[in-house]
Amino acid sequence: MRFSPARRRLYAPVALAGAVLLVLAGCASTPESDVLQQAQAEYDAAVSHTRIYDFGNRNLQEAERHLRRAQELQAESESREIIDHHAFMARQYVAMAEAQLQRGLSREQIAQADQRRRAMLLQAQEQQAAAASRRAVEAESELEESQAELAAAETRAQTLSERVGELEVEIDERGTVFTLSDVVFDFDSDELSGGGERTVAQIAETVEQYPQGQILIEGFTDSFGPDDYNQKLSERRAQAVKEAFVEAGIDAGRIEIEGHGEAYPVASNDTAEGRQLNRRVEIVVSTDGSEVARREDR
Amino acid sequence: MRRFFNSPAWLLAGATLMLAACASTPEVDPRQIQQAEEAIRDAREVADRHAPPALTRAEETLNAARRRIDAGDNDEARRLLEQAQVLAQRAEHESLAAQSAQALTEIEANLAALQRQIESGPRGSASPQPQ
Repeated sequence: MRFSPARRRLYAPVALAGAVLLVLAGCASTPESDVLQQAQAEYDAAVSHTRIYDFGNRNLQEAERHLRRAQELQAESESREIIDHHAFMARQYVAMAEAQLQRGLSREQIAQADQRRRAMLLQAQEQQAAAASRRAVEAESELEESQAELAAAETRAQTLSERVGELEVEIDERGTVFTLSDVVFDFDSDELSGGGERTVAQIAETVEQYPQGQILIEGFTDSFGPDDYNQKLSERRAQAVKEAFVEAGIDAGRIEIEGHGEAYPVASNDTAEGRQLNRRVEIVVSTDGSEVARREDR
Repeated sequence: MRRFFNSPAWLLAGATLMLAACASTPEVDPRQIQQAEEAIRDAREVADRHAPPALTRAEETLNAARRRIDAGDNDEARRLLEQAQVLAQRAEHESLAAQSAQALTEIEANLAALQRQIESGPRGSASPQPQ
């Protein structure tokens, strides 16, 4: 008999009684039932699993009860039918205890899986939140950067026009057009005045921010004086600005010059104010890197 | 009681008595038949697509018990009813265990998919769906 030690202790007297009984009765002993042996083996296998008592304890007790009964009946040489019946019952209860063990283990794992799933979802949410806030911070700093750039550009433009008052900046289809008034030149000269040099240097600095831009410098005069003189003066003034640009570090290859003389007036030559507006140098910077369109081409 | 029957004299007397009274064993209690039937019904409810072999066996055993009753072998009928009932209970437990195992397999698969989704990063449409 292979019961647990406690059971063995408990049933030793019964076994002894059975043995004595057999001897006394002198009957031919019944050979041990195959079903009982099988039941005993299955029971032993089941209880060797440490967790089975956590899940199938009640059915295990039932199995044990039937097994014990079958052992007793065997000892009493009861009929094979009845011994086998109890052995059969024991086997079913063992199977139930095992099914309960399997179910219990599965459910424990399901609970663990559920916890893992929660942890994963939390992790995913944190990842998403982190990514979102990272994107938000990036967007914000980009916005701040561009706002700062805009403010700086505005400040530069304002300082430029405040300090100089002799420069106009506008954007037309040819590109960015800087218009230098004639006050940057000495009277009737192609020499830049001291203030004129500073203004041109500042334009050069601005132009450097468009490293791709091609530059066309155009000179204009009013209608006062001979045409060919005016033509040459406009060319020389454009050339003077080009030289100032090159001195400021702009690649000469990017710069084209052109003198237009008294052509293309922007105001009437009949008034002093109008003539002053017509005496000018325009610096056109293409923003897309292409050559600046010539006036004749238009 | 048991000690009483453990004595050899009573064993012999009992055996004689049993043999003699074989034809006149008491009737099978109809409640025992009902219990076996109910256990089978319960097991059938729990078993979904794949009924465990124990359920078929429980049904066969119940039928065998009925035949024993008809034949007047009430002791064997009682044992068979007891067996039918316990087989049905076993079938029920096995179905439940199989269902839990199946659920676990599915959950593990979902979990693996979720893990892959998370590892592929929070970009795109990879927002994990709660299962």
